[in-house]
Amino acid sequence: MPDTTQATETQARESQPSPVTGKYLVQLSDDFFFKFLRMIVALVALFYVVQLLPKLSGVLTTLVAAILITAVLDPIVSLVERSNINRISAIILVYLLIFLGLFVVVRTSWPLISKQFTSLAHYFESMEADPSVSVFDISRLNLGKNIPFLNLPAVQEKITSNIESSLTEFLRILFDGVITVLSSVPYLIIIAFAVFFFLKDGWKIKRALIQSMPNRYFEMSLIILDKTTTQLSRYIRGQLIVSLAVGSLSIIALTLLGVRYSVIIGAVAGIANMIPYFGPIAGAIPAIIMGFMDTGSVAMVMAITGAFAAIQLTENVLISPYVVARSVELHPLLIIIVILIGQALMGIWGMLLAVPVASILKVIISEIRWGILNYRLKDKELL
Amino acid sequence: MPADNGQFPFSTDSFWGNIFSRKSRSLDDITYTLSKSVLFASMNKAELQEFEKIIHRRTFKANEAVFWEGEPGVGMYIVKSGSVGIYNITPDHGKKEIAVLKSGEFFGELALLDDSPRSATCISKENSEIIGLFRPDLFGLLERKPRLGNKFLFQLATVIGERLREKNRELYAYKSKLDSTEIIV
Repeated sequence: MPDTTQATETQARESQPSPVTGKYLVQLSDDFFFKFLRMIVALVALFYVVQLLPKLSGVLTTLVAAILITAVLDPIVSLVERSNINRISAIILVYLLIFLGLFVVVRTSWPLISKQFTSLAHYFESMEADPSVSVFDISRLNLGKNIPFLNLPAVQEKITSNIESSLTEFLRILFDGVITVLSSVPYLIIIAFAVFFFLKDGWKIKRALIQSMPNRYFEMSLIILDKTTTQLSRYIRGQLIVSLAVGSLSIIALTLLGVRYSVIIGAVAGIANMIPYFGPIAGAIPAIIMGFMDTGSVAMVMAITGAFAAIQLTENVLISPYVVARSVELHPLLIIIVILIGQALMGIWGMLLAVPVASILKVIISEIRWGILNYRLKDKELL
Repeated sequence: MPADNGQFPFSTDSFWGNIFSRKSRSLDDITYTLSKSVLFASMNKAELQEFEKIIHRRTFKANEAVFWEGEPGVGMYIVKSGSVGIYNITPDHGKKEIAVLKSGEFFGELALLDDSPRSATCISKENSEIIGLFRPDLFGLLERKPRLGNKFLFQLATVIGERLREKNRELYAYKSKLDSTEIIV
């Protein structure tokens, strides 16, 4: 017990006159010296880590992707493990089921996907060969009947070029995105390996992380880590299920309506759905433009809009309430702000990641706040 | 410098022994401590090793608090070595020792069931090594190995039931003592 006598002795020792100069010098205790040294080492390490971050972005992306996939797969592996199967066998079984599922899906839908991609590639080739060739003729829509100034050739040309350029840009982003995914197969293999080991040895990593905590923060850290991982895993799973549902429904609806590139546009609508408010609109717009461009019929636009509205209604009423964790919900205004910040920092990827990252931060901050309020942290070391 | 047992600390046996047998020895240590506790008494080695995966080893200095009264409970602890004291600390009566627990004994097991606040403060009396089993990890085990988890919960229920019976007996004894006592006004 650090009693007052000891403290007085330390004070006295610290304020003894120096034999050399005769002046009072404060002698630094070993404890202070080591704390200071540790702080310097930590700062230097932090500096180098920050310097290295841009170079490690590939590794970090792979790691984050692996952690997210692990969060989704872990409960499934645990479910398989319940039937008295050991963990490694359960992981292998889940992997096999996923590969089998992917194989069946790709195999059955490959002719359609391949056809749409070939068509898209031809579209770009024709655009590159002769940009003046218009694939979209606004004059046949006969819009000038009701709005006379739309009959002016200059206005028509402007509208045509604007719609075409934005659509081409959108399709190019899509095409490049898919090509990037396909070209990153080696990364996918690394991610698959990382996920395997996270699933197998995740408990060891979690335990090692917790083990390094000082005793006074131990119970608090344990509960915060558990609450955070549980909520996040539920949130990621929920988002994934919602995206899959919206994507599949969009593909089905667009295919039934006969819209070009229905699989690609539908898949994008599913992914974009992860961005609240902006996502559903961003997912519907390409389909509406594509439908309008091909048929020139306002009825088609209404049909596509109706289909997307019905999908959104189904998502909001039947799917989201059951699968998305309510506790991670952010205020609508905050969502808009973080999406705009994400867009400013990283463009489309930033918009896509803004809400999950903000949700992660919200969960972590609220849990740490709860821990600080409920645990007695200050005087826990020694009585 | 010779070691306590008279052997040179870096003799070939202990040197290589530390490298190669650390894991199994630490595992045996833990499983041995667990098996000494009544909660794990009916479990075989494989089952104890499953628990070994979810427990945490913590070392506490003398007079260091393990937890404070009123904090949310997260789980139970088993004393591996050393000893801990359970206290009620009140502003009026100061620190009142309720119990001292030694190697193999456990405390805080009610926190495995819910996160209601700790009913007492636990402070390490000397440098102690304590094994912690916590609710999130137990729930994880129940998800993955429901049979083993239920076996443990049944054992826990038996221990809590036994304590409840004991408290009932004490209560009846006090009640009959109170009934037989004449109150002189």
